[in-house]
Amino acid sequence: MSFAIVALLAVALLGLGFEMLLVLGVPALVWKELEQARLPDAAVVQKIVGGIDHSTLLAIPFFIFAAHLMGSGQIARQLVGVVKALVGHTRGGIGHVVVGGSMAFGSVSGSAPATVAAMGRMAYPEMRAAGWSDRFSLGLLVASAETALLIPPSITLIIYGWITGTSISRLFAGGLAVGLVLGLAFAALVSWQARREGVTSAPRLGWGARARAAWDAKWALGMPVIILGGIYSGVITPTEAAAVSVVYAIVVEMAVLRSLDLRGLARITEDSAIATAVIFVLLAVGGLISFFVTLAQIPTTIIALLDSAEAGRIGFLLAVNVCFLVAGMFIDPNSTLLVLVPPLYPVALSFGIDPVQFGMIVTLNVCIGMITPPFGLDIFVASSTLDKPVAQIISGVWPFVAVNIAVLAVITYVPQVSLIVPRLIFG
Amino acid sequence: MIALVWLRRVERAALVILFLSMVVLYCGSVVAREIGGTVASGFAWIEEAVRMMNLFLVFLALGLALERGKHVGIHSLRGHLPAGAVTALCRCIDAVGLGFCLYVAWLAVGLVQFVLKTGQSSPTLGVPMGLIYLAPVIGFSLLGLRYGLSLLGVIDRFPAQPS
Repeated sequence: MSFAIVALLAVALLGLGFEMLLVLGVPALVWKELEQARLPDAAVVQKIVGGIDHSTLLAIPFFIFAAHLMGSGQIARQLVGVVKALVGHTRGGIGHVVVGGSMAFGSVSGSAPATVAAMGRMAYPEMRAAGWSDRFSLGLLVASAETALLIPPSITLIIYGWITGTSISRLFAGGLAVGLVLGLAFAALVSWQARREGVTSAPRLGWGARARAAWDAKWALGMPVIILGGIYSGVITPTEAAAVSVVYAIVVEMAVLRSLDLRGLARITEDSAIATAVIFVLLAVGGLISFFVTLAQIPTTIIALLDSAEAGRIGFLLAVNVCFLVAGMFIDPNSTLLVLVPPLYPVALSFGIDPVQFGMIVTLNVCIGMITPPFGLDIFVASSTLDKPVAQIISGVWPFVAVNIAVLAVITYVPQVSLIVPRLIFG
Repeated sequence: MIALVWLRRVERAALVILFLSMVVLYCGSVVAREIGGTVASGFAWIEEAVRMMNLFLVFLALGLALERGKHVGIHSLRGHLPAGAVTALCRCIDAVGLGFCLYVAWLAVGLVQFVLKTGQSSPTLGVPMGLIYLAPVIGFSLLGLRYGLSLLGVIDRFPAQPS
């Protein structure tokens, strides 16, 4: 009964437009009063602070800061320029640049909405000029940005790693593989659609011109080298890589590319701090929710329910996909993770599912939620960035939702896709 | 509202100083470990200091984030409601937000007092642990202040929210 009241309250607050911190926080406090009244009040604040007082989570503010610096400066544009020089001539031309550019931008930002905003401004006019339909252009820009949640450094994967205690480095390695698979699937759709729409492509550049483009972007290319090379060589941890990437971005943008001054640095620092707070306050309240989920023995109840239904591993994974897909359509990725991972992760372990594979399934579901109506966050970001009606963007995302679901099915039932890179690197 | 203007300045300056200090300290610890040899063990306090600074960074930014419409939420329903209902709903959100913040801040004050009495201190910095719980006291007070000001119509935070 209490659970029904709390769930209804959360849904009502969500639908009425309350801030997510209230949608999670108010029902949590009501649950505490109804079901855990003997729990000392101090535990509430302890769990809120404890929810964000972890070294692992320090990677998030640093990666957000680095992404803001690179997005506002030249590094992100230079990375996209390299992709354009390499694949701009292929069938589908600029369409492939959007896919590759989003992956490149994602590899330094870790944020899908930031990728939609940046790539939308840069590539949308070029897509239309090359003859791509408005619908497909918008769908591609919105969908490609999802790869930012999979390609390391991914804030979503860091949060999943923190909730479940899974190694962030292993998750990043798994995310790299799944992100590439998703990118290739989008590229295949781009090639197929390019034939149907008869779009033009850029002239093929000689190897000299390509090498020049890469050389011009040498400082930008240093960023993924520092982040991925540093982590996988074992020299630095993901959190340290994040901090070093901030210093690298400041030095390159201010001293080398001269695209940032002190006033700009202060503004970006402030914006990054606010963006960090918006995520961390959800993690803080999420710490409280995870605590109550454990006290209420919800994972045990779910296991018993699945046992009685004789669902098995396949049935469980199907249920996970449905739960995350539906939740992702209505709430933001971090809140989805905070609400659903604590009760479902122990069940996944009981079915012998690898934590990295489960992380990939969860993250890809969250990705799909971000581009799926009615409340897919990226749809609204694209609408505001490109000044296009939401309905027009929605009409373009369906082919990509279908591709995503196909990739999700592969990730769900072929564990090797998620696990091959982590096993190659870490054994 | 000169006081509010000054409060914003202090918050913004504190955020910039805190965040840049976190970056410098954390990178400094990496450099110290790589080239400092045994000296590096003397910098073990840095991680704890940065974690603590991050707590204050997060909670200090909550009020500004609300004022700028940055907190996540689904605001689509409002577009379909009549003007009077939207006003009533916004007041309701502000009132619930204010109540939530004041309650959590009050709980946090109790925890600060309790932990300070125990005399616990942090492992490497030796800072009284009670002071760490000042971060949510300050943060939820600042957030509650913004909800309160919005409720009273002193600030208009809702137009800044994405629809």
